[in-house]
Formats: sequence, structure tokens, C-alpha cells
Amino acid sequence: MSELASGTGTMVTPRAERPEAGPGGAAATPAEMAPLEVTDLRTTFVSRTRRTEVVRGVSFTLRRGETMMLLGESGSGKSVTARSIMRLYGSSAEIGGQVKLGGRDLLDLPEAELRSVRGGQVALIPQDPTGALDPLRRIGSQLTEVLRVHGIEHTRRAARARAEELLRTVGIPDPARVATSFPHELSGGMRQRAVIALAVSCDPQVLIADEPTTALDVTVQAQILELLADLQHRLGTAVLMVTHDVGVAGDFGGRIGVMYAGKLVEEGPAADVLSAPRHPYTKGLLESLPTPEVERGRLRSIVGSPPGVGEFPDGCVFAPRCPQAVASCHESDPPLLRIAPGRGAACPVANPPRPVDSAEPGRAA
Amino acid sequence: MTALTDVAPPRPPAATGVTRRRRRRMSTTARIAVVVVGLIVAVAVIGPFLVGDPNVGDTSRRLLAVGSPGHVFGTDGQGRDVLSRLVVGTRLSLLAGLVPVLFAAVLGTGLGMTAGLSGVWGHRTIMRTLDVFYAFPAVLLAIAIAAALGSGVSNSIIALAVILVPPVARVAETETRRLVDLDYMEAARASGASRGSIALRQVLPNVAPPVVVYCTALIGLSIVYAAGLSFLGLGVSPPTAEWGLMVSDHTQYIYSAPFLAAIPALAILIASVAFNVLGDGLRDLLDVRGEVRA
Amino acid sequence: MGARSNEILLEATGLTKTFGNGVRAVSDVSLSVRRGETLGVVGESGCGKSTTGKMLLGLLAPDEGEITFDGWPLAKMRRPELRALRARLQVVPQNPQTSLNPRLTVRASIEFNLRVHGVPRGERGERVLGLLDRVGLTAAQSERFPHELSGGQLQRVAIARALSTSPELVVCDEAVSALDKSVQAQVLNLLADLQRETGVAFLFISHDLAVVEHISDRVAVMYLGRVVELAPARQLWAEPQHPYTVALLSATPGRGQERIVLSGELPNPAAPPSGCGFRTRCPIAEDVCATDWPALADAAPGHTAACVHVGRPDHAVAQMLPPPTVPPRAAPADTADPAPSVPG
Repeated sequence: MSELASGTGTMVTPRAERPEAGPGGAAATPAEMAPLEVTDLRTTFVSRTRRTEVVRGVSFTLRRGETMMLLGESGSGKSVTARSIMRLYGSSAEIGGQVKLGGRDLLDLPEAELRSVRGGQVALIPQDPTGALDPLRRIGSQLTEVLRVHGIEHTRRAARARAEELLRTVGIPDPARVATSFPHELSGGMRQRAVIALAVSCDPQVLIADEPTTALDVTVQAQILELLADLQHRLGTAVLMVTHDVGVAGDFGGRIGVMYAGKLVEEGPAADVLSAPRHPYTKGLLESLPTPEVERGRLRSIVGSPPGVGEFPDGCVFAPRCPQAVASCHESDPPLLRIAPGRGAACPVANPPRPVDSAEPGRAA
Repeated sequence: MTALTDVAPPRPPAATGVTRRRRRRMSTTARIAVVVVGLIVAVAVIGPFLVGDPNVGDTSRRLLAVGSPGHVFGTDGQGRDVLSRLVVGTRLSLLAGLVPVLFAAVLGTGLGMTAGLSGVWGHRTIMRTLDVFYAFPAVLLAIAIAAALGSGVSNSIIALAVILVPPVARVAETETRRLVDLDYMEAARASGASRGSIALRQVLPNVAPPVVVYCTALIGLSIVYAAGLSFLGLGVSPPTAEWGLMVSDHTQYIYSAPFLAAIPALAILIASVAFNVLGDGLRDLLDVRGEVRA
Repeated sequence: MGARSNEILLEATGLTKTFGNGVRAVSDVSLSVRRGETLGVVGESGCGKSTTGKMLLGLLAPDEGEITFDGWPLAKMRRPELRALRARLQVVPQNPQTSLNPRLTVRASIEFNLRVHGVPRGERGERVLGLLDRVGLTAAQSERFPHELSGGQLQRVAIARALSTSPELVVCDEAVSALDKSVQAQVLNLLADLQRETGVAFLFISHDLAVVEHISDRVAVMYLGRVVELAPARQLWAEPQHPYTVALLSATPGRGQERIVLSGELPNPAAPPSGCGFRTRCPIAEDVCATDWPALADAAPGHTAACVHVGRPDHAVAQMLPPPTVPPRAAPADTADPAPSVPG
């Protein structure tokens, strides 16, 4: 594994041991410098007749070796946010704001440079591993191609050896056999491992995992989550994981950004957000999870259903379903407020402004 | 940073709640096609009452050029008014194109749905039988059938209906197969409904729109085929006014009156394209889902 | 209805189904649903739970085994009898996007079922509105097409349709799995309320353990086409007896407990291992496991499990399983160890 680790410079300490530094903190050393800084990201899908704004001003920072979970229900824009970072929508979407990766704004990069960033510095693990692999080529040859295209290995032999090593890294017991297999010969879990091997092959700084376990069975899902955590631990990669599963978000730890209707409505360390939510939506979401303790038929649900994409109401997007909504909620859309160190929530009603809370530098610049 | 002093970020002007409403719109070209098809149908219905007898010709005034006084489109080799013949011929040309498609639509949908809903053997029997017709080039098959039956409008219609059934059945079968395993079909079966009831009330509403779209486009093709059969002498017989026959008739004078043959040919082309474009337009119109696919 | 509770409504014995491609989807499954109860069926994809559901609905004929509904054997029924039975046995399908015919309005979808069971045309409209009201939808929504409704609303319509003929048993095949959690809770509440009011029994098929645990009275756990454990819901979660159940429960995300990561994956159902199908992944497998798939043995009253260890005096599955190979994610603060071993 030394080879993999050396690519990222010094081995990073596990994330829990790193001191909590403000995202915009001035004391950021190069090693601590955020590899990914997303500011006011806005994604609008454009068709001939219509413009649909799906992501509406999302900002967050992902530091080295850190995990950020984007948690949200369908249509919340969590997946679009992750994919917009890599500009995967081409001309069908207009993307505004800034996506800084190592000082460069990915949104300004020409297409050619962007291609080397994709798969190189930022890699994607999609939900469905089948779509990410070429069905007509052996796993090994797909891996060696990526390694050679990105200039990691120059000779075929070295690339092949490296490919097998990568397969072993992602917990595939017999890499030599898997390398000569076609995707359809592998099970879902093995395929997802192969995709992960592909994603980490170029030692990316940021790994974007879009619902990486949703298509898998619960017992296999557990394996893949362990693997991702382990890889992140060893390689120091920052992980941006998109999920709809509160359980997954809680288990994987790191920080959580709760998305609703194209916005981040709450942000903070996973354990804090899930144990003491500060936005009514997060609260409602957690309370609606079925548990054996709750009497049958007495789950606390959120009234109504999430707004459809492009049907966002005026004012706070959650106001129509919110039990705490007041008149002003329907008028202006509250920004993500800093409510505690490292925590934000976009609800002034549930978090009335306290007079002495200005020590923390604002994150929404 | 205090809470409420922050300005809400700019929002797009899009009004809420609009997007879910159904949008049934046709493109401009499709609308033009609607107008053209409407005109053709109008001419077919009332045209014959507005123009003179198409079969009366004055041989002294044969092969007059386009724009001649009294004969806007000129006259043909026997001195008959081309405009009159074109207008009167519309009805027959249109019927010869339309009727086979109607036959094929009903028969093809029935066969396709039956194949799609029946078991392995029923499906195989029906689809393999239809494949036999696919093995022959459609035009050749139509010619062969028409030739075997003898010339005449009804035989030309039968020949065309036969060659149009397999593709329509294929469309209906594909759509039916797509539905068979869907949840609502399972729910329908679990409801205890009979097969016929499921076919009529659950499957047909789904199969009909693509079949209608496909058949509308087929009308254009069928008009061309019908005209082709007449051109070959397998459709209507002279002196009946019909577009295909007119083209055949006019080509004799290709050297003395080169544009004469182009007039009925153009009519065939316009009708055919109009129905094709109309078919495309209907596809957008009949898509209940509208534009958004979330 | 309450008076007849505990009476068995649907009973399946020895169901077996092999598909044309040689996959034995279901082997020797025996289940029973009592009046007014909810029987949960959990398992991972390919465990045969949906195939079992289809056989219980009479949509798929079992190769072997028998199903009786209220004492009537399904296989011996003629068409008219079967049709009458359908009114009492309904289904709520999985996917809200496909559970309703996209070309029919909500009203037409529900009326279809009413018509099948001979409700006169004049009464249908009123019945539809009553049903929609019952599931929390408005009269205006009855004229909508499925694409105009949200996922939660669609499943409500599917539930209304299933209830239209006052069934005694409704098979819910992953009926809430595709819904967002906040909406899922509404639908789960609705199902529970309906059960309380009408005494309808549910066969609740799902891969989501938390949902099954919440909604079910009894739960059957399936693995590789077989029921490996069957127990009252509370008891299953408190004292699971089959090692697969233990692993499955511990793998559920968000439990905050130590997770047992099973090695490997589901064996190919077309070529299952000899003996117990779980032995290839089982941490406590023994030589004897390779000979026969063990029969369901009583572990406690009403609690059976198909494992050779059941009933042994030293059997306590949770303790017998080795500690997890990787430190649990929930508490990473104390993990200075930089290289935990890779699972698998």
C-alpha cells in the first residue's frame, strides 16, 4: 500500500484526530487546505422550452481525508450537486458558482483539462456499477487503460501489476481471476468493488460516491461501506457521499449536509446533526423513521410530500410542510445560519439569533 | 451575521405549480401538417363538386402548359384538365391509402396484443407467421398479391392491407410486451379480471397511442404504395382519375411536357410527407406524461 | 372480525418453484397468515420473497406444495371461484411509478376493480370517492393521471384500489420501499390504521428491516429460497436464532451496534452449495452443515429457525459470532490503528 499512500504525500491522521478547524480558517496549512470548496453552486437544467433550477446555492468545504454526506430525499438535488461538481451534465445544464479544487475553479476549466481532472483528481462511484463498466471488456483491461491514460503507469506490464494490486486493495480475494473477468461474470458487490478500484486507481483527492450501496443488498452494503471507510482511512481521500439513507449517513460519520429542495438546510458533524437536529426538516425526517419502539400507526410523519423538481415555493422551501412555520417563512428564504461551531441550519425560527454568536467567522461569503 | 438581514438569494421567475400541468403542444411543422392534411381531406370531400368532369377532353387542346387560360395546371395528352383530374383523383388516392391502414390498424393491433398477452406458444405462432411476411420486401409482396388478385381498387387495398399488418402488429406487440410485467398489470390480474377485460381496459389504452402515431405515418407510405400499384396498372383502371395513374399516364409525355408528370407526383409527395409529419406531431400530443420525466 | 382472530386465513405448505433457467427460486416454503395480523417477509434480493408473494396471490403456480385460502385450496379452484376469491386477496405493488396504469385516471384505475367484482356502474363513482377519502386523497385527485401525482399519493391510490373489494388479505410487495422516508411514514401509518379499522391481514414483503420490524406481528426471514427463521417480530430482533438473521440485523445501517460483516455474497441460486445454503458465509458453520439443509426447529414457542445449532444448550448466536473484523464506524475516535484488515 506504500505506493498508494505515497501519492498523497504524508499519511494523514484519521479524521477524528484532526483538530476542528473553521472551514475558512486562516491557519490552513497546505496539507489542511481544503481540496474541494464549493461556493454558491447553482445548477439549472435547460431544455428548449424550460429552465429548471435544481441546485439553488449550495456551499460547503471538504477537507483532506474528510467525509461529507449529502443526505436528502429524492428530488432534493443531492445527486445533481455531486455530479455538477464534475460537470457531468455537459450542455444540458447551466452551472453557476464556484467549485475550487486545489485552487482551480473546475467550472472555468476547458473541457480538455477537465477530462484529466475527472478520474484523476476527482473520481465518481456511481449507484449502479453496471453502467460504470464497459460490458465488453475485461475488468483488468479497463483498469490498465485508466492507469495508462492518466499517466500513472507507462508500461503495460506495470499497469497490469498495479491493476491487480488495486483489486486486492478493494478486498477482492483473487484479483488475477477478477482481472480477466467480464463485468457480467461478477456479482453486484464484486462489480461495485471493481468500480471502486477504478475510482481510486489514480489516487484522487476527492472521491464522489453517489448512493454507492443503494443497489446492493444489506449484507453486501455493509461490506462496501466498510471498504470505503477503510480506503479513505488509508489513502487520505476526501469523500463526498450522496445518500438517502439516514442509517448509512450516521454509520459513515464525518459531516452531514441535509438537502431539501435544492438547498442545504442543515450542516454539521454527523453525530450532532442526527442526535440533535436543528432544522425542522431534519427533525421531521428523523422522527419519521420506523422503529420498534413507536407504536404501529403512530409514526411521526411530515405532512405533504416534497416539492417536485422546479416547483419550489416562495420563501422557505420547507414552510408548506413545516409545523413551526410562521408568516415570515413564506416570504423570505432563510440562508444557512451559523448556529454553533461547525454547525449550520437554515431556519431562524427554530434557531432564534443569539446576541453573542459572532465569534465564528461566517462561512457563506 | 444575523439571521433576517440576509437577502434571500435571487430566484428564477418561474411560477410555482405550472410545471405539473399537462402540456399538449404540437410543433409548428406539425401544425402545418395538420392544415395540409385538412386541405387534402377537404379537397377529397368537396373537390369533385367544384371542378369540371375530369374525363372530358378536347384533343385539340392537348398538352397545354401550366398556367394556360382555363387550365391552371394545363391539360394532359388527351386534352383533359389536369387540375380537375388532380382534384377528383384526391378522393380515390386518399381512400386507397387510408383504407388499408385502417384495416391494418385494427387487425395488427388485435394480433399484436393477442401475441403479447398469450403464452410462449401463442406468441411464437403469431409472430413467426407475421415474420414470413417480413421476409419479402413489402413493395414486391404488394405487387405480387395485387397481380395475383387482378387489377382493381379493392384488390389493391387488400394487397396493401396485407403488407401493412405485420409492422403494425409488431408495434402493438412490442408495447404490449413492455406492459405485461409491470406492476399494474399484475394488480389487474390479481383483481380477478378476465383476460379480455384486461386487454380492453388496461392494455389497449396504452397500445392505442403508439399504434395511432405509427399508422398516421403509414398513411403517407400507403398513399405512395397505392399510387405505385396504379402506376403499374395494378390499381384503378383508366380513365379513372387517380394520382398514381396520372403519373403513369403523364410520363409518356416526359419529353414534350416535362412538368406534366411532376404535378401528380408532387401531390403524392405532399400528401405523404404531411401524414408523416402529422404522425410525429401526434406522438408529442399523445404523450400523456408531457415533457417532464422526473 | 376480531372474534375470529388467530384463525388461519392463508396457509402455504411446502411451496417450491423452479424457473426455466434452472434457478430454484423457492424451496419448501411453508407460511401461514392469520386473520388481521401482519406477517413480514424479509430477505435480500434473490431470496425468493417476491416469488413467494406471487404464488400466494395465485399469479404463479407452484411446482410443488399447496396454498389454501380460508380452507380452500387455490390450485383446485375453477375460474369463477378464483375470481370471487380475488376480491378477498389483493395486492399493493412495489413501484409507485408503475403500480397504476399511466393511461387511466385514478378513478378509472379503481373502477376497474369495482367493475370486475360486479359493483353496478351507478355506485362505482361514490365508492371511489369514499375509498380515496379513506386513504387521504381528495375528489379532485380522482380525475388525475398517475404522472400528476407524487409517489406517496400513487401508493395511496394503489392501496385504495386494493381495498376497493374489502379484501381479507393484502400482499404488500415492497409497497413502501420506493418512497421517501417522510412519505413512507405516512403510508405505514395509513396501513396500520386500515388494519385496525377493517381487520385486514397483511403479508408485508420488504428488504427494509426497520420497516418490517415496525409493521409486523410475525416475521419470516428468507435466504436462498427458504425460510430460515420465523418468529414474532419483537422476539426476532431481541433473540435471533439463525446466524444469517443475526448478520442481517447487525448489517442494518444506523443501528449503532457492532456490525457483523458477512464474507462473500449470496451463492448462485442455480448452483447452491450442498447442505445448508448459508454455510459458505456462516461464521459458525460445522461439517454437519454440508450434508442437509436443516429443518425449521423450535427455539421458543412460535419461534423456529433452520439451523443445526438451534436447541443446543450452548446456542447463543450473538456470542458465538466472532467480533467484527473492522472497528465500528460509529466510534472512530479511538482508532489509532491505521490499517484494519480488509473484509473478505
